[in-house]
Amino acid sequence: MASVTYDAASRIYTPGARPAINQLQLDIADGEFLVLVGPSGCGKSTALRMLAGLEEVNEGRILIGGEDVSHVSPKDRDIAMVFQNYALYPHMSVAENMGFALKIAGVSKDERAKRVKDAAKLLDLEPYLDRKPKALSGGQRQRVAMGRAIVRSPKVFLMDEPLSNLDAKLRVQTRTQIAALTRKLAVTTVYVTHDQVEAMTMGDRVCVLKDGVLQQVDSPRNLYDTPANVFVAGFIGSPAMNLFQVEHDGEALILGGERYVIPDGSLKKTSSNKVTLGVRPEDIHIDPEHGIEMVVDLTEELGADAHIFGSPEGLESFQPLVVRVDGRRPPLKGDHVKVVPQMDHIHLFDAETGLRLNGEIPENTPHAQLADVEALQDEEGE
Amino acid sequence: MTSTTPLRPRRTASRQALNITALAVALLWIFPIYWMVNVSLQPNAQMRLEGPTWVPLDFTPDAYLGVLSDSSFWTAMRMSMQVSLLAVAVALFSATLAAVALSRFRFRSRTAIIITVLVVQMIPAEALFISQFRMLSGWGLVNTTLGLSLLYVGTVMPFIVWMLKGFVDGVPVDLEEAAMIDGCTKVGAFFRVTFPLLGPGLVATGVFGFLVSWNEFTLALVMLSSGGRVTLPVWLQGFQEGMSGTDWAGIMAGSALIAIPVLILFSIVQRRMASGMVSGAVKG
Amino acid sequence: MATLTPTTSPPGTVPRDSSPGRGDVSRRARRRQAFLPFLLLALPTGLVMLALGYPMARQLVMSFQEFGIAQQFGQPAEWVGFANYQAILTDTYFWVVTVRTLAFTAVAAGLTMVVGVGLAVLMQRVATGVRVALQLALLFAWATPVIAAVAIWKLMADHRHGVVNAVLSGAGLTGFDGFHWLQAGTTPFLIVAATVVIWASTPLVTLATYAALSQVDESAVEAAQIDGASTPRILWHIVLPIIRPVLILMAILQVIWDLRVFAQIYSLQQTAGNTTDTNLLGTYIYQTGIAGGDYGMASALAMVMLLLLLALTWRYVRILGRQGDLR
Repeated sequence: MASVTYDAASRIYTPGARPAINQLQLDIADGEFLVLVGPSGCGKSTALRMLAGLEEVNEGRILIGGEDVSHVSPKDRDIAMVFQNYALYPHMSVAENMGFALKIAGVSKDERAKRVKDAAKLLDLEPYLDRKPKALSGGQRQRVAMGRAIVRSPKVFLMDEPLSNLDAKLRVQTRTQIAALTRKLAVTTVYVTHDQVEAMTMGDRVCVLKDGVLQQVDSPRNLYDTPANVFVAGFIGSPAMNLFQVEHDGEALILGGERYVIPDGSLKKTSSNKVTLGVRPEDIHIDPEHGIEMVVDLTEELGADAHIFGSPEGLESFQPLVVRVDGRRPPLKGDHVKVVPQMDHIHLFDAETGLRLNGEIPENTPHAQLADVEALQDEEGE
Repeated sequence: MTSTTPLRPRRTASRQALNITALAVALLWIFPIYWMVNVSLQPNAQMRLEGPTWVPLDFTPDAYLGVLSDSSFWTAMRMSMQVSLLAVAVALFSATLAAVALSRFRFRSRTAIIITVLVVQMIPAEALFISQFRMLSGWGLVNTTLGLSLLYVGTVMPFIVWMLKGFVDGVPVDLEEAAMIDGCTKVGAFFRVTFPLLGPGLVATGVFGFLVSWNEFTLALVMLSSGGRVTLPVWLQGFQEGMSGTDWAGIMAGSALIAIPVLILFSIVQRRMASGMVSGAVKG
Repeated sequence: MATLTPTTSPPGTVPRDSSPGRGDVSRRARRRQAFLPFLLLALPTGLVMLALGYPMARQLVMSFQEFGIAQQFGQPAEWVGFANYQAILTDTYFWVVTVRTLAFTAVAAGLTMVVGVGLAVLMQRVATGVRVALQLALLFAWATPVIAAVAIWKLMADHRHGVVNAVLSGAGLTGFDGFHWLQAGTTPFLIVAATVVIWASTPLVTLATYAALSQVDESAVEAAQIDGASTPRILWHIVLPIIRPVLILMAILQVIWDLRVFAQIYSLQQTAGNTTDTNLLGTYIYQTGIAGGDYGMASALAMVMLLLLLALTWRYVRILGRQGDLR
């Protein structure tokens, strides 16, 4: 058990080109479950592999338990890793797979057998100990990979998208099991995923990466409530936050001809006459009297609630407006409705830098553009 | 892929026709080998009768006993064994190094080297044996196991590297990484994880190299031109010339004795061998 | 990274091992890392250079020299420039042999490819038992040592005791009774040679093509079926293009093996007696060099053959280089 520190750590494949990981600064407390999340190509796996020692640290340092391991080879770092495709040794039985690290470490045969058995019990793998990985189901293989990590009682668990090869139902089950297990063992865990639901449900803290740069690291709640820039705002949450370019006069937003006064003075922090307004779908309401006019293009019924999509007049956005409404009486396609944002839950971002303007403002946040969020949606569409 | 085609009744009939065609082809292809065995088990006198004898009813092992009691056969057998085993051992060891380098490392000129491997394996020995002979004779290696083995190493190496690279590519890098995290050094990870998984591929590749060397005729004929020691194919050729075509049973028995070990080895590893040969090209 | 297939790591992320320590030590370790692949390649490259590279260079040199019997006994070789090449290219017999070799290659390689691919397609459509039988028969033919194969075919095509003539004349073609295939002129001789070659080289084509065919994604075929394509059209427009790299590789190998063919021709010639009418380039080089002792001329001939090979296959080698697994 140990803390982990990325101290301005960088990974540069080709000198001169954009680093795969750029000056990553991150402290992970002993026993903490930290999730690295971001769109594909953001560098989250690279960051994990740097900690594993599978990628060089070109600049800066990585510390495990206060000790600089930047140039220590993987075998000497006392870490365990669960790979995306599990990387089980196909020529060894389940028991041999789980005991391999102990064998290399010179642990006696009896001790090895005992620890493998304990781990197998924990993971319901006892009946399969003599099987080869080939003879196991996907979920069982996943558990063997977990078991291989647990058996060692390492300082740190590293998990690289360990659930991405499971089907949806199993993924949800295993998600809960892994979270419970790592808390029980109280081992520091760094977990990489592209799935924000996994990130939000599992992590003590979640670290959002984009293009090798840390965007924000915070508890899931804070990440959701006070995203540090437009990228985090657009990335966290499903359906995604509504984001538009809106005009303002320094005191109030001008929306559909009406003025919405922002009393905390956050509009004074920007020099531009536009800001990016972010509103989560659940923070917009349909109002019979006044608000922004919108024709419903699509209604997505989900049972308890429904999402309506539309393009309101006079609002600049790359995405349709999404509003969460009561599932029992949703407006239907073609209906005319008026919508009003709930002003105490809105998010304001600088139109140029993409940085947060209202509420609690996290420090050291990199700039972001609306275009980055747009790119995110193209990727999801693929 | 045919299972989704409609029109069942017509299909069953045409499928029968295909089955029969395929069987006929199989018989046609195996016939020469059957004929070799057939003739080798008949007394030579049988050959002079009118019309062929289709089944060896007058069974006699005389031809085999004749060959097996011929000391020149055993000398050639020893020579073939020595040359093939030496060539395979050296080629397999060094080709493994090359395959690992080409499969596990990214470095400049890697692609150029792979293309060179491809091109070199296309240079025929028949276009080089003149100067290869001059080279060996300059070093006093004509008529030696070492000299012929060296040439065989050069001949089989490119193909072996190509096959082995395919097998190494087939072992995911993750496994080595997992082993390194489990406490192995890079070299340890290779030997404990990749190497055991490579086993069947190494066997298949080794057998392939062995067979090429064992069956090779041209270089053996040229490089062992003046000595008494020859490999089995050259021995068989000499046997044919010496008999001037009268001892057919003996020639066929000799052919069978050379071919049978090869056929057995071959059947064991063929599946992997064929897939190894094409793996590189299919993936592209 | 969600788009990665399960068995690959991100591109360019081959693991690098680094030793404990910082700064200098690690940089030194990294330099050693960069050096390692070349170290691994040193022995195999060296051996190939020794066995093939050096002779190749020597051969090129020798082809510009007068290098005959006298030189073998120590006389210095005399530079003759392009005289060897000139002599070859102005020799009608060379052209006869070359045209004969090209014709032989075209027929043998062409038939091997057609029959080989045809059998592979056939193999996909027959019952399992039949397929195994065919596979086994082909494997045996493939594995039979060349000289043994030639001996068998010689026996089968023997003018007096051969089963081929017995069957042909039994079928009413009495002209073949006692027909001496190997001594009846160029064409019958080459028919026997081509038969041996095709018999022995078709199996590789069939088995490799079959292996490739069985790796073709079913869904591509099913999609074409839904698009309304007939089985032959699916084969021609979908399946064969997908396995094109394998087909090209096989075709290149056939051309190379057939153009340089030596053992079969040599062994048949020993029985036939006549070499002038039956020589192909391989045996012609052997006769000029090893038997005739004119190494300079033989080297030049070999270089010409190599150039011919290159000219015939270069385009396809490049296609393969572009398509093949060179990443």
